[in-house]
Amino acid sequence: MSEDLFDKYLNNSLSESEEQELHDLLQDDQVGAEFVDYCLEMHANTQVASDLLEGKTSQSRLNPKPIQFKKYLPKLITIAAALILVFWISQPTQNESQLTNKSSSNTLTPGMKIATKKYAPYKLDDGSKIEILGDAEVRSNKEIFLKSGIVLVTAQKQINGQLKVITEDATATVIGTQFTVRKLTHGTSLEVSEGTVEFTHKGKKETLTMGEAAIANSGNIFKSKKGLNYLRYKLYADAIRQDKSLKFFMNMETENPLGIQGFKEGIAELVDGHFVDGRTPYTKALKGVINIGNSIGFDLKLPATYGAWVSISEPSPGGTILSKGDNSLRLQLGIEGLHLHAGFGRNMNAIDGHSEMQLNKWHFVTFSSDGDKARLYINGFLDSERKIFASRFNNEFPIMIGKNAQVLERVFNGLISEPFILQRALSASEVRQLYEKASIDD
Amino acid sequence: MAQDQEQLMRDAFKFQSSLEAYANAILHDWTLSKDAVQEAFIRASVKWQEIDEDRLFNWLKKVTRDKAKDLIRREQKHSRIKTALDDIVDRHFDVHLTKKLHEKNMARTKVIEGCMGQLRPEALKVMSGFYKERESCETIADKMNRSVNAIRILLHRTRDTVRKCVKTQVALNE
Repeated sequence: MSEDLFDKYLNNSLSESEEQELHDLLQDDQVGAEFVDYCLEMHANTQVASDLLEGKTSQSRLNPKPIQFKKYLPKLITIAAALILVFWISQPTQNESQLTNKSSSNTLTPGMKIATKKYAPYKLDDGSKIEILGDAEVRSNKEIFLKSGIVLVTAQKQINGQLKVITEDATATVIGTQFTVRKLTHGTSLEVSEGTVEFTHKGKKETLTMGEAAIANSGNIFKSKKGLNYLRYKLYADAIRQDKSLKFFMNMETENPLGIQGFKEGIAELVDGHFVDGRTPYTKALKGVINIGNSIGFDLKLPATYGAWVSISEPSPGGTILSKGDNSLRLQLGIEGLHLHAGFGRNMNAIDGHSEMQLNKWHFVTFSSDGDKARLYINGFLDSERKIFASRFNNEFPIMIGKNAQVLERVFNGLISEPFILQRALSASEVRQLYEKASIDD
Repeated sequence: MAQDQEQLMRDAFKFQSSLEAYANAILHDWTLSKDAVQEAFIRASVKWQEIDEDRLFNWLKKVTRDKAKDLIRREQKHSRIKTALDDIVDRHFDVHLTKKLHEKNMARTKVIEGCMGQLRPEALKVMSGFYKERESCETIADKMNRSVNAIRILLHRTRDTVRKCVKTQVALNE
């Protein structure tokens, strides 16, 4: 009986009542283990059936072709090139890019549409090298329209017009030789590796030279000589600073790591530990404890969102990220020291995360509550959700980062950066956007 | 931390099938599942120096999960993402999809190949069409010029035959 439900789950054909039935069955851990095993088994069945139909052998499936990194690594000039390498060499038989009108020499010709989930190198007639990951269309010999993803251009000297990469909201025009355009969820970014590129967006125009980066978003072009990483930090910090419900934000910028916005009464004081290099070259991280103090202005209530960037050095049960005692606000680690936990008031208003965070990696942790439901997010993804019974729970304890003034042993063993409190509940998409703005990996 | 990128990526690719099964349980889409795992491999190839070899499987699991959730968002398949069922499925994969289970599955996959190699091509087509292409029995019946009921029976029998064969072979091997 349960296998029928497992099967329907895999085939996405459960009715609502069956969904509930499976949910109830999966409360049993043993059934959960059987379910996971069944998923693996059916996946293997399907893969084998498909491979047999295509005439593949187990050898090709179980022993992927060797990856010849050493041969190619010296030639890499960008991360993009590294990505091409891994997937062109290691998985030639799977997920071929879905080209229409693909020519045998990989030369881009007008009218070609490219939808690829891995980097694919092409050339234009003039010899310019175009590497694409995403959805793009060649509109002419001089125009590539990027719908989503990334295009890396190594351009030849331009004759008879200039090569352009166009997105729905910006245009990068080649004057120099090498640049990367990314279609972000909100906007378009450009990084210039060599030469000069003209970047236009909604009537605004910027010329970027080697080493510069820009993000075009909402009618503005944000440009920086410090590169894309700085811009992504700055856009994140500005999004918090400019939120009308801002209650507290510690920017942790290199020059002034104790600088805070929000609480007018609070004065940040480093009471233990020190600052170390942060998650970006422009921010510091706290390895210790900061005391912000207490005042009537710190009377916290819901709705609210609070969060921070954290990197756990060692599992620290109850390790506090941001707190105002135990019974007002606490964003901390759970009892195993690797899961997230947050609380507002008594325990009936607490929530535990599901995912284990990795040691020594930066995670963007967020608690958000509208007063009805509490949600925990890690790196912009919903990690846990529950109904809570909230009200106002202020107390006489100071706001602290890295420690809980009411339960002193709850010390965070790791790094904390850019904590914030907003006096409204951010939606899931807003949390995700914040993470995307701040993330420097994607 | 990893010392050798090539070796790390070799090890990573060994986990491909289990990771794809995990992504597939989240995405219910064969192609997208492969994409999610590919993206996890891309991330591993870039971050290889930061990855502890002993935690590679867990690292890949986490990134695959994140990428799969990200793909759901991108594909605007919002309807299922926050259901209680998805949460509990997620939790079980987190707990039960271990390296040990992966190894068991790899051994079983070899047995499955032996068992499936004895099946008729049309049985393989039904399996592939139903689970990989997500085709309904009606669509498969139409394509194969058979009745819907015949396809349902064939699917059921194929699944059953393979499972029995695998069970027997695994017991013999043990």
